[in-house]
Amino acid sequence: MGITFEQVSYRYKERALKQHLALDHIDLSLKTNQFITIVGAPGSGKSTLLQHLNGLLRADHGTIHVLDMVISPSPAKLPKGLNQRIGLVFQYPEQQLFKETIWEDLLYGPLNFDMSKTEAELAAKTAAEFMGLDDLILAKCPYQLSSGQIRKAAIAAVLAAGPEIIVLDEPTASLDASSRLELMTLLHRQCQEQGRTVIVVTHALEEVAPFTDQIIVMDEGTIAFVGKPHELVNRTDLIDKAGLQIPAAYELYAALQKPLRLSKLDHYPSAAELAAVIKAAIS
Amino acid sequence: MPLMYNQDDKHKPPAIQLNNIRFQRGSHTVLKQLSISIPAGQWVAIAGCNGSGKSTLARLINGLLQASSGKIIIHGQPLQQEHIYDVRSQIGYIFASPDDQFIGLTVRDDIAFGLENLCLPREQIEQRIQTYAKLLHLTELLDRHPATLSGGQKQRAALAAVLAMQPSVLILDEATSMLDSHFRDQLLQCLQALHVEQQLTLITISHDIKELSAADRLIMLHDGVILADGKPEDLLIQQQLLKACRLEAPYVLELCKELRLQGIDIGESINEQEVLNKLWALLSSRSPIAIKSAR
Repeated sequence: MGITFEQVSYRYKERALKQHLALDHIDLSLKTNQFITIVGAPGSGKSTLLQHLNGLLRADHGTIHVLDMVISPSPAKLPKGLNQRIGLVFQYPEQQLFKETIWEDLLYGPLNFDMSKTEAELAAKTAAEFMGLDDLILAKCPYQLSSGQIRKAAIAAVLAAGPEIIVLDEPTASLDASSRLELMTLLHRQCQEQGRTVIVVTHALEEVAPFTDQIIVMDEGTIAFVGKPHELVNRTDLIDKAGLQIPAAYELYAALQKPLRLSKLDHYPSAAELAAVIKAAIS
Repeated sequence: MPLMYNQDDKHKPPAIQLNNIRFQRGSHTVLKQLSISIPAGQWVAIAGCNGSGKSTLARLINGLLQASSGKIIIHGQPLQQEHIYDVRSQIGYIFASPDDQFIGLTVRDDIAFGLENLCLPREQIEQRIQTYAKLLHLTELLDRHPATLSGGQKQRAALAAVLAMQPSVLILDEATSMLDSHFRDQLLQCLQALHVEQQLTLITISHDIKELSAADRLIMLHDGVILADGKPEDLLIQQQLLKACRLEAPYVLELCKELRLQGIDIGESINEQEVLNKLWALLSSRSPIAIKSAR
C-alpha cells in the first residue's frame, strides 16, 4: 500500500483564465509509514495536492490511489472511510474547530466515525495527552486559546479520529521555536511508533530536514524533485525557486567538506556529529 | 536582575513609552508592571513563548486593548480614548493571520481602502498602490480576490496595505510566519531599508532567530515580565534565555557548544560566517597550505 497519483490534473474554477494548471498531470508514487515533506514556492500547488488526498478537492483528470482506496474524478463516489483514514490539518487551524469546547471538538471525529462513547473518550484523551493539552485547555472554547494552543488542539482533533495518514499544511506557522521542534518530534514519533504516514507542507526546511524520509519539491503544478533532503542540497535552482533556505547543517558541512576532506553527505548531520567530524579531521 | 539595554540613541524622543503597564485578563495577569521606552527609529524585536504577553503588548500599543493600569505615551501623546484614531493612524499593525485584516474585494481595493480613509487624492492613491505593490511583488496580483491568494501572498498584500499608509511605527505580529524563507529574507531587507531610509520605528514579534537578530534591540518576555533587554547578538547566545523564551538554539550555536565539548573552543556565535571564519583561523594555524589551496 502506498500513495500514487496517476496523471492527476486540477484547475481552480475561479482562476480559469490563468494559464497553468494548479496540478498539471502529476505522477507521483510514495511509500507509506514515512515522514514526507512537500515544499515549493507559494502557489506551486502544495496545498492543492494535499486536499486531493482526502477528497476535499476532486481532480479534473487522473486517479489517486491512497492505501487501498481509489479516488476517481467526480462524479465518482469517494471511497468509504477516506475521511477517517486520512486526517487533514489545515493551514488555519481555527477553521476546523467549531464546537464549544476543545474536548467536544476532540470527541466529534471519533463519535462521527462510529466509535462508542468510551472508545471516543479514550481516543480524545490519548490525543490530548500526546499533544500536551491539559484539562484546563480542554474545557476552553477555541477562541480563548492562543494561536499555538489552537494549532495543537486542531492536530489533536485529527489524531483522535485515528487516521493512518496525517496531512498537515504548514503546521508550525505561529508556533514558538521550541513548540515547532516538539511538534516535529511528536509527528516523527507518530510515524515511527504508530506506523502512521505523516505528510507535511512547509517552507522551513531546517525544521523538517532531520526527520524527513522523502522530500517533494513542487513547481507550477508539477513535481520537480522527489528524494532525500540531502540530495536536494545541490539543486540550488530548485531551492531558489521554491524559496527555501538550505539548513545550516548542510551549509556548514558543504563549506567544510573540501578543506577538511570530508566524505560525501548521506544524511542530516546533527551538531554533535559535525563537531566530531571536525575534531577527527583536524587532529 | 534583567539585562538592561544600553541605548546609543538616548537623545532621541521616544516613539513609544510604556510606564508600569499591567494588563489583567480575568484572574490572570498577562503583563506585570512593564516599563519600556522605544526611541523613534529603533527596531525592536520581541520574543517570548506562546502566551508570554507579546501580542497583548503590541495590541496595547495601538489601542486595540486597554491597559488595566499604567500609562502609554505615543510620540509624546498619552494613549487615551479621545485621540486613539490619531494614534492608530501613525501605527501600522500586521496580524499573524492576514485573513484578519482584508476588507477589499481585490488586492488593489484593499490597499486603496486605508488610503481613501486618509482622504488622499486619487492620483496619489494610485501612485502608492503601484509603489507598494512593486515593493512587495504584488503587481500581477492586484486584481485578484484576497481569498484566492496563497498564505504568503496574502501576508504580502496585508503588508502592502499597511505600508502604503506610511505609518511612523510598524508592528509586525508574527507576520512572517506564513512566508517562505526567500520572501522572509526579502521582507527583512525591505524592512531594513524602510527602517534606515524613513526612520520607521519597527516592532517585530517573532520566534525566528534570524528575524530577531536583524533588530537593533531585543526584548525577551516571560510570563508578563521583561526577562532580558539588549542587543540580539548578546542575548541570543545565552542558552537559559533561549530556553525561557522557548527559542530553539540555532544549529550553529549548537555546533559551537559541541565543538567545545570536543576540546575545540571557538567561542559562541549565531552567525555561520563568523563560526566558519574562526574555524578557518584555527585550521590555517595548524596546516596553512592545505587550507589556502582548498579555499
